[in-house]
Amino acid sequence: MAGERVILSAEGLDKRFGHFRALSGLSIELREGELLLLLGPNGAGKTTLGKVLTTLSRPSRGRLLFRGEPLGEKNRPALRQAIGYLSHQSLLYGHLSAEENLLFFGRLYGIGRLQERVAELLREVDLEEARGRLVGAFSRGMQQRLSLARVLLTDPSLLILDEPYAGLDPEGSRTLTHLLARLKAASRAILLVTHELEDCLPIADRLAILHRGRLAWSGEAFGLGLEEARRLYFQATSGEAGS
Amino acid sequence: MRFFRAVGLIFLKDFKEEIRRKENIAASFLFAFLSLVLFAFALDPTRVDMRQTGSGLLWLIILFAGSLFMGASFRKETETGTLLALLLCPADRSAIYIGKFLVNLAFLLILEALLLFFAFLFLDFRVAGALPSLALAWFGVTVGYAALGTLFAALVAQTHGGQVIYPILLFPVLVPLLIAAASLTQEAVSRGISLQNQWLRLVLLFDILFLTASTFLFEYAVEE
Repeated sequence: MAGERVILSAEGLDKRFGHFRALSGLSIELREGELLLLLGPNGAGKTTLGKVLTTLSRPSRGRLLFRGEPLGEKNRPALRQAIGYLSHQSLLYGHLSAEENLLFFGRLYGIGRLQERVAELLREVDLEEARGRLVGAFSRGMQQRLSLARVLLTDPSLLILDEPYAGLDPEGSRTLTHLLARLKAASRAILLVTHELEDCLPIADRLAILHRGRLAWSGEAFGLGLEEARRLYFQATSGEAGS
Repeated sequence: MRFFRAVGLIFLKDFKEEIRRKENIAASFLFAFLSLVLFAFALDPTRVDMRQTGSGLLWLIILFAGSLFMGASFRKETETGTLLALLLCPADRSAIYIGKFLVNLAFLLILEALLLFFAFLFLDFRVAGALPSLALAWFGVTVGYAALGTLFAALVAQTHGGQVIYPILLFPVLVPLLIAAASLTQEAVSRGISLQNQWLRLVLLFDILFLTASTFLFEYAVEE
């Protein structure tokens, strides 16, 4: 069941790259214990939105509120500490081992009892035996599992996942979906950017469709069938649906 | 405290990675070594004053070999997306820059030490008596070079064709520093230098300027 506490909200976000408007007047809320599924065609602005929400990119206009407070220099480090960001790239060092990667990021975040936490996470993502192997020699599925362990290292309250299913086999996709369901149950707010409706719709609470930098449709995902969601998607991205 | 901890962690991580990856180190060292061999065959030590010519040649080699190494400082991080992971850390972003700068500085100093040794073997570039002066001069110049080289590497890392643009952007800005480097090397080898030396003062001024400006500009260099 989704909580009511808004962890991060965006109000009237605009992001321009020269004359190109990647985001246009976008407002969105991420709530505790809720999974927001974000869909959209290529170039709709999904990745840009993810980067703005994670503070990796500054909006041209609009503002972010973290736990109700406008984001500024004072609470930016707290937001960064609270965010776990996963993308289609592994965000891991190929010439370091699985354990070295986690230890490096853990130390950067100043996590206490790090050795134990790393061992626990490696066990959780089923990479305990591969802990000493260089990440560059990992399969795509193994890298993605380790990426997830990296994200969970800081015990983030907010997860922003940009196409985490890319390149995963069906077994890897199933494992990821189960893990996301568990994280949602543990009160994490999750923004999931994906094209994998089939895997993600059953665990989503809300659905948002982005088209040309605007929120073309948003609403409850609960009870929404796969076909209906697809129909909404095609209508929204061809400009027919209302929210 | 967190800042210095982050600097140390990034430095150690990068150093370990570079040693394991080998490709950047191998490319730079090989280039430097082959250039020296080429100059050894092209120049006749009985006709050329190596103390005069050698300083310019050595800095030319350091410039190109160093840019080969430093140009890749952020490229790998961008390709794998790890730069995003670093930028998301709550530590000050300038810690990333300082960590990378220190790795580049360490690499350049090792390269220069090896280069001096091989220049002695191949070019008869004798500096035994002038080593303290030369070390002071080269360290000063290398700090400025690494400071700018690291910042420009961050600037072009997310640019298409950044490898090609990197030296085109970097080298013109380095001209004053390189003129000072060649002059300082000549003076250090022939009569030694003191802290009152005008070129050395200029180099120190460049170092402070480049390092301070680069530390502040880094945040904007890595932002989209």
